[in-house]
Amino acid sequence: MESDMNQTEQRIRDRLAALPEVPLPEALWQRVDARRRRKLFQRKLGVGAGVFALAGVLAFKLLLPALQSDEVRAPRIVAAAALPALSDAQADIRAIDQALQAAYDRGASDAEVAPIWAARAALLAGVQSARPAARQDRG
Amino acid sequence: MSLRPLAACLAFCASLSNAVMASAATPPVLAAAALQSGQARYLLGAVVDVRRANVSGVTLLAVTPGGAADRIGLLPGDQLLAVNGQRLDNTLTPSSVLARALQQGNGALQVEALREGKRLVLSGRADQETGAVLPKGQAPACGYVTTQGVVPKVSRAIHEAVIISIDGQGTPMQPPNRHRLTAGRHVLVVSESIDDSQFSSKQRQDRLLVLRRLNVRANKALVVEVKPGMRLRVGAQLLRDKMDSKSFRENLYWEPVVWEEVADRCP
Repeated sequence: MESDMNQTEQRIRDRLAALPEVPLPEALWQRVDARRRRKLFQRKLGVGAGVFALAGVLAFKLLLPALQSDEVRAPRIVAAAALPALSDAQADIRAIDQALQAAYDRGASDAEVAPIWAARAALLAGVQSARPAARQDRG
Repeated sequence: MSLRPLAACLAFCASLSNAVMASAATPPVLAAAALQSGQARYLLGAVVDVRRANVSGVTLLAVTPGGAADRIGLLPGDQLLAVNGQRLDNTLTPSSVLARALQQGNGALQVEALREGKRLVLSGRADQETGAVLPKGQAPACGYVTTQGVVPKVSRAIHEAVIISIDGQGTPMQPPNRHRLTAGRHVLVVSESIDDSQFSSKQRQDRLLVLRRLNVRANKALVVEVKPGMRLRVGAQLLRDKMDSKSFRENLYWEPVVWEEVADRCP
């Protein structure tokens, strides 16, 4: 039974092998090749445009400070120096740091200084959250 | 068993522990660091853990924004090996060596530090504090802080408090009526001493748990501006809207406040 099946299969294979090969139309290969080249070109174009855009952004960021005139930049610095709320908080942080140092100088325990560190962290968080807001106001 | 005696005992133990810890190295006069007329003092503008020194020096814990350490590029976590040539990595008294090194620099600051195993040498100018120039014999302007007196419990929910330390220095175990301080900013660490009667039974239990868990960490710091000839009255404000279990657990139910500022002549 199994040998019959094998013989049949072999016969089919022989007949298929004996069939004449049909030549492909000449234009097909040209079309496939043209399409492949077009895709390759599009890919290169995409990569090139991406690199160019990235270089443009980087150059803009790097050259922006140099391109801006002093007149444009000066008000930002003046505004930064005149932030009363910020300087108040900074004075508080300075006082806290001096208190912390005095506590460490006398050998205070970690538990003793913990409330001062907590106050410092709260103040610092306030200063950091105030910075972007201040910039926004100036901008 | 009633919680009230236990809470009272715990509050007493906490205040005793506060006082003992703070008074261990209490100098005889508070604010002794006040500068004499025209005297200059140089500072690093950072917090350095000078309690323990080893072969890697002392650890920089924080940098004051805009201070000398910040300006020269030191970062928290740096190990200070030497300041102005004075070694901090082979001394048993790094605190006094650091203070001496800063004063000897006369304003100049050179720091040798270790950052992630790399040795750095940074230099710049130290922060300078100068005492106001005063006529001979005249003391610097001063004011007071106090927790004594009757507090407005009903009208403003202000309650008794205890000042545990001022500017990092412990206060005496027997608190004086008022603490005399030089005019300017000061950092107070305050412990609440709110009467039990202000809390319900559940709230008393929650408070007891937080006091037992946090002990001296339950204290809170307050930065105050002492003006010449003025007395600041400090208390603990009970925050009625933060008296749920979660707020008690997070020690949010009170905060230290200056609730009154009155004139008080200071010599």
